[in-house]
Amino acid sequence: MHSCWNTAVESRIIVELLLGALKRIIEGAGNYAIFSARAVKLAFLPPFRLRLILSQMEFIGVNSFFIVFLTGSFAGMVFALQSSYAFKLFSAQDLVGSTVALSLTREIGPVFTALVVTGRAGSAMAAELGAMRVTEQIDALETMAVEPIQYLAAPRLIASTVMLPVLTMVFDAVGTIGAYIVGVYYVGIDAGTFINRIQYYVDPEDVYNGLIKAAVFGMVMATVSCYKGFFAKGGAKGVGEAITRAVVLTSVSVLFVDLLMTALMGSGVGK
Amino acid sequence: MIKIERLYKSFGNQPVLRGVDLNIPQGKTTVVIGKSGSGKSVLIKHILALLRPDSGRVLVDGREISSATGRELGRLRTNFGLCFQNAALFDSMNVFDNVAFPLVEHSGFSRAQIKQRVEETLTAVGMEGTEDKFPSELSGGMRKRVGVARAIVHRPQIILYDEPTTGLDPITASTINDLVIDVQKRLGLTCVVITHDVAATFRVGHYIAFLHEGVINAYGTPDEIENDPSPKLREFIRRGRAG
Repeated sequence: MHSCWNTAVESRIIVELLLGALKRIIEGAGNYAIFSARAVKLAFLPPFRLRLILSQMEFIGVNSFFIVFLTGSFAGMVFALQSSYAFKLFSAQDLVGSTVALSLTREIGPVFTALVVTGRAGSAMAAELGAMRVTEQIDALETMAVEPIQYLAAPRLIASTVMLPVLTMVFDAVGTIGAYIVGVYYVGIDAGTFINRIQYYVDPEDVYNGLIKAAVFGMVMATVSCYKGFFAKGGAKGVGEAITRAVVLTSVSVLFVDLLMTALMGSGVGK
Repeated sequence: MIKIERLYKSFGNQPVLRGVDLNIPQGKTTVVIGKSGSGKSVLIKHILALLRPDSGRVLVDGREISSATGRELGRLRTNFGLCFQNAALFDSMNVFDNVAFPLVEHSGFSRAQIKQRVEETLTAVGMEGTEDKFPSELSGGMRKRVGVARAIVHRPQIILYDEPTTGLDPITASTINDLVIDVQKRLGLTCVVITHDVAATFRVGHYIAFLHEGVINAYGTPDEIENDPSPKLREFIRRGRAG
């Protein structure tokens, strides 16, 4: 009898905990949706703070150039090397260039760029806004009749949405060059064939779709990072937690949105 | 004039304000005192509509700020300047840009006019020559002075000080009190000072309100407060003076 009662109490506690967690997730998702919608709306309303937007474009775009360049070139070289081993089994090493280029433009370019920029700029956004929150700088903006979401989130949103596709283009380009160097000079693929296969298999649509994805990832990164920083609480520890959550949530969201967009856009296989 | 009527505010199950009634007269300094955690900062945030009351209202010159939103709230807030406890200066900007911020956002002044006004204001608070410094390069007292400059640069009608002398040494605290008095006299502002510093209270206040257990327990001029029979107030003053 006593054991049954204990089991019933434990079950009730577990159900309550699960319901509590579910409620927090739904509340969090709702608050994020409201914050993001407001940031998008305010990005299109005056005053337009061009200086802030350009400064964020420099921080997110120009300052991420080196790390994107580095990641892109290594990703292209490694991918060319690995695929050359596989294609060698079928004597189809001529396809290395097109395989790498297609993968880069459609998937690897936008996703890797988003993850790398999230680690560098998304975490910095969450940290900066989190620190502003806990030191009352965001309250100070409000008291001076400045809408904090418009002042802080909107420029970052615009800059991320514009700069992620630009960085993805850099990633695609240096990745393909890296694959060319490995494919032609190390594996021994004919240079003309390497380029010809890329021209034959890679359509402009592949590149455009990858850039559209990158723009959406930029929006996701900016809104998630700003949201986590904007509502940080509890001093330095709270800011640290906000940064971790921003990076983890953005990374997971990018992968999820990528799956969704790939399904919507179609794979292009069989065209 | 600021009129606070039957203001109630709770956080979760914790009631903080339990029916605050307070009239803050125009052109005078009203000091709200009370022990830590008595709800003083919550009260100041309601005056600026940074927090919304559970019930009750705050009227500024007859207009209700506690329910205002959007542009109306923005317009009402431009009448205020707030000096935060830790100054809350923008750490990505230097002193000049911090002080110029309200003018850049709202005044429509030219760059030359902004420069002139910022220099005048920094001189008024004794911070001339620090325009290029960043907040991290300033001492606590200097940051508070720059905070005061930022709060008054757009010539507001009302200035609010949240614990202006907390965390400062006695000499710097005294200098900040002088500044609070000087700014009020020079600009004829309505001032609200939130503090638990008893010495500062009697020095700067034309009126004093004692916030205790979520309500205004006593209100009056410094002389009236000095002679108020409320045991809680007498205890607060006695302990405050004893340090």
